[in-house]
Amino acid sequence: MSRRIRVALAGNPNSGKTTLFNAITGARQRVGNYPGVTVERREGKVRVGEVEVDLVDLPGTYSLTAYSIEERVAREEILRDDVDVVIDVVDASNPDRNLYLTTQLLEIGKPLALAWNMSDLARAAGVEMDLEKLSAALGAPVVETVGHRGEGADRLLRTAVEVATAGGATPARVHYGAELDAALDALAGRSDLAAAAAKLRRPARWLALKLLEDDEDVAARVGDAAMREAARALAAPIAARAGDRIEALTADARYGFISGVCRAALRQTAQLRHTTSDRIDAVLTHWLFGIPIFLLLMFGVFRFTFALGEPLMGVLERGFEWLGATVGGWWPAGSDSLLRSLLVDGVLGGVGGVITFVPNILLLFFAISLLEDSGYMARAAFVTDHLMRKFGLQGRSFIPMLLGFGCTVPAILATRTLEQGRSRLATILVMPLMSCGARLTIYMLLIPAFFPRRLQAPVMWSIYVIGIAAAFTLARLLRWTLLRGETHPLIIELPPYRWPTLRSALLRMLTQAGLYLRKAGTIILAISIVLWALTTFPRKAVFERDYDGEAARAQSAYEAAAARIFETTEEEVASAIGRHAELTARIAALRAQFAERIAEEESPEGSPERWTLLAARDAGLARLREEEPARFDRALRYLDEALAPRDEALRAIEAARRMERMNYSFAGRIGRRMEPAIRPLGFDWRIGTALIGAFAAKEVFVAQMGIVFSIGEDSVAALRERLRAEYTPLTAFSLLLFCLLSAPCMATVAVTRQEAGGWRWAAFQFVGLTAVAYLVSLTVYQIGSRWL
Amino acid sequence: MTGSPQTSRAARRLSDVRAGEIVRVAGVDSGHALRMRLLAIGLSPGATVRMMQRHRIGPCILAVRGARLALGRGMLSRIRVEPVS
Repeated sequence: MSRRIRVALAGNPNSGKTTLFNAITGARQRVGNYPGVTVERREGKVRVGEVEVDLVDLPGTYSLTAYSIEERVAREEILRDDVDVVIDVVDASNPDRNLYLTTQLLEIGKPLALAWNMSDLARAAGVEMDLEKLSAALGAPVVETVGHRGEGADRLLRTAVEVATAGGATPARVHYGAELDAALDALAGRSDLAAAAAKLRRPARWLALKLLEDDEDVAARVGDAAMREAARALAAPIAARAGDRIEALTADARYGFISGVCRAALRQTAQLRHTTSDRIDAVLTHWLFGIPIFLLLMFGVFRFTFALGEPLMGVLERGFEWLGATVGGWWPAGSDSLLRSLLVDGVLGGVGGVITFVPNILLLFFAISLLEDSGYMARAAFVTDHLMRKFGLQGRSFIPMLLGFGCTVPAILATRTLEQGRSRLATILVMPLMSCGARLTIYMLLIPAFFPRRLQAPVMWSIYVIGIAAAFTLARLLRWTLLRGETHPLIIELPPYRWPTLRSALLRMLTQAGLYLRKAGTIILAISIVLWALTTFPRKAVFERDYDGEAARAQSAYEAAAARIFETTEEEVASAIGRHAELTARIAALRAQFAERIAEEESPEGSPERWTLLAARDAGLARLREEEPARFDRALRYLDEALAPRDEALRAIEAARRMERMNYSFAGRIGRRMEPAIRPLGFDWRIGTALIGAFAAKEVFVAQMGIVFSIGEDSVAALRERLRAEYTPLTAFSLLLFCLLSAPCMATVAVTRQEAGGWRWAAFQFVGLTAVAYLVSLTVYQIGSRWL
Repeated sequence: MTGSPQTSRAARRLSDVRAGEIVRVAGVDSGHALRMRLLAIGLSPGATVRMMQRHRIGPCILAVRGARLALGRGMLSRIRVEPVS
């Protein structure tokens, strides 16, 4: 007979709970969100004999009060009717504190099993344990586990199933002292409380305890004023006599219970757990070296990400190009099919652009996971806390903001490690100001076009610094105005350092990639199609010039030239070209290689490097001439006088056609409508049109500029030439600032909506940042144009 | 004058504790939510605390119930302490 049971996995942060969960479920897990909040919800399925087990990984918590979202979520999940058993993961090397959550689980009274986790570390630290005594004292079975090696996981599951099916021992009762116990009995014995407990499906004694502790959530649910009054009347004299609040007394009783349990079942022979860790902390959290070490580590993370990520990105880019060509090839050459354009330019172009960032995101998360699992991230929050607090942010905001230099989307996802609330919201809202990798492509186009070499690095640097300054200024302003309120005080545990495991880092990396790709598959696809439509419709049917005729003329001029060069008839010219094809290709390859090397090494004209390259090319050409003395000169002439002019002409015709289409499309019209508004920033309608494209993904700006200037996308140098002719360096700087500050890309809008909880904040971010960008660019351009 | 009124009235705070010193928690002056949090991570009345790291500015590191905790200054000044007997 097959059965299904539901098991909830509870435990302190850093207790190794998620590692254990991963060890049990492996890749058979689903990651989602609890409804309405951004707390991650992990679920997995396993079979234990005949029983189907649904395992839920609760958020890590220190207790089960209702004062943080994580705790509220965990509590609600545990109290669900269909949860048959709770597994409490306890860090065996720190039982004193970890068992506090256990006492609260005992209070709830659900069937319970303990995972005595990291028991290898506990042994190494000199803790001698008698798990039978421990189990007897708690009234729940205890199973030794070593999470990262998966040891004991099977036995733990079997025990949990046993507890759920056979009913385990009765959970031990925590005593709070004669007075409080009496008050608890009195309250739990009331008939109205019994009724409320039945209605709310909560244990009566637990409900009574929470009422005495003045738990806001429970009090609100009970709602009955008489009962709350009764609880208050019972609690007040006890609190007054003890000189402390009820919740302090119950906490004290719980810790008392724990030390009783520990005395009976554990013997600490040495205190070793922290000595190594403390020694490392003396360096890593040093008042002077702490921050430089942190920055160095982060620099390392970025080097790692980009060094490994760039080549992978290149592979993906080429993959999408190939896919685009393949899909495009389903239609005849030069086809005007709408479906083709939608698939190639809209879907593959848009989603592909976003997916190419996946390797970087994966690697970034991999590196961060390693640091996180090692225990360093808590230290990073510690060393940056003081600085971040001055801006109304948390120490923990720092890491996500650094990730923002890579890509805003994973950076916003990473804010999940922050305390919920206004400082997290502020972190999310200003995140796009940390200049992401995609915007770098815009800077790479504009800066070399407008600024002399010696100014290029400072301009680039200033853009990043302005972004950082704007992020912190706006965060501060937001926290003084719209998001006013206290910053969560820093309370963070510094777990002992340990070696991170590859398995857990890989799992976390894949989870994040899944989140990102799911987004690319849905909302980003939708927005890509909208933007494609904006640049495609309305379609121009009648063009101002006869592009097809011009192309045909270029082709026949080419054939005539070739026939002249090869001294043959126009009927025979194709075979003559064919006979010279191999030689022509070799000459073209030599030249292309030379051009590529020059571009790579950036060697100026007349430099010795340039001479060497030139000599190498000419030597290669001379060798070819010796090999093929009869045909070489003709091939050369054919290349320069027939082939090159035709390709040039076709490119220009195609580019002009694209520009005319773009002008006619909605995007072009919007760009033109926008012109009066962006004129004061130094922009014209062409820049406006390109900025619309930049919303899809920032790097699209470059391609759009290529289109509006009717220059092939591949020729960055030619585009720079045109830009230099059209605009001033001041316009360029204004544009750089605008691209840095304005409207985040669609992926960011989507992820902000999800993480900040609603379109409202996403819209606010979009409009707010665009307004800031407008003001900054306006100021810079207006002051600059008067001044210069 | 016998004994300054200052010292008898104002209890010592965790924020005044020097690095390396060991004290006992006497009480917490904070809102409900924060107190529950502190109790849960082990800073309950009677708990022994050792100040591990304390710099001129910024948060401090404490050893409490076998764990290391980092707490901000504002938080520390709300925790009353007494000498260990």
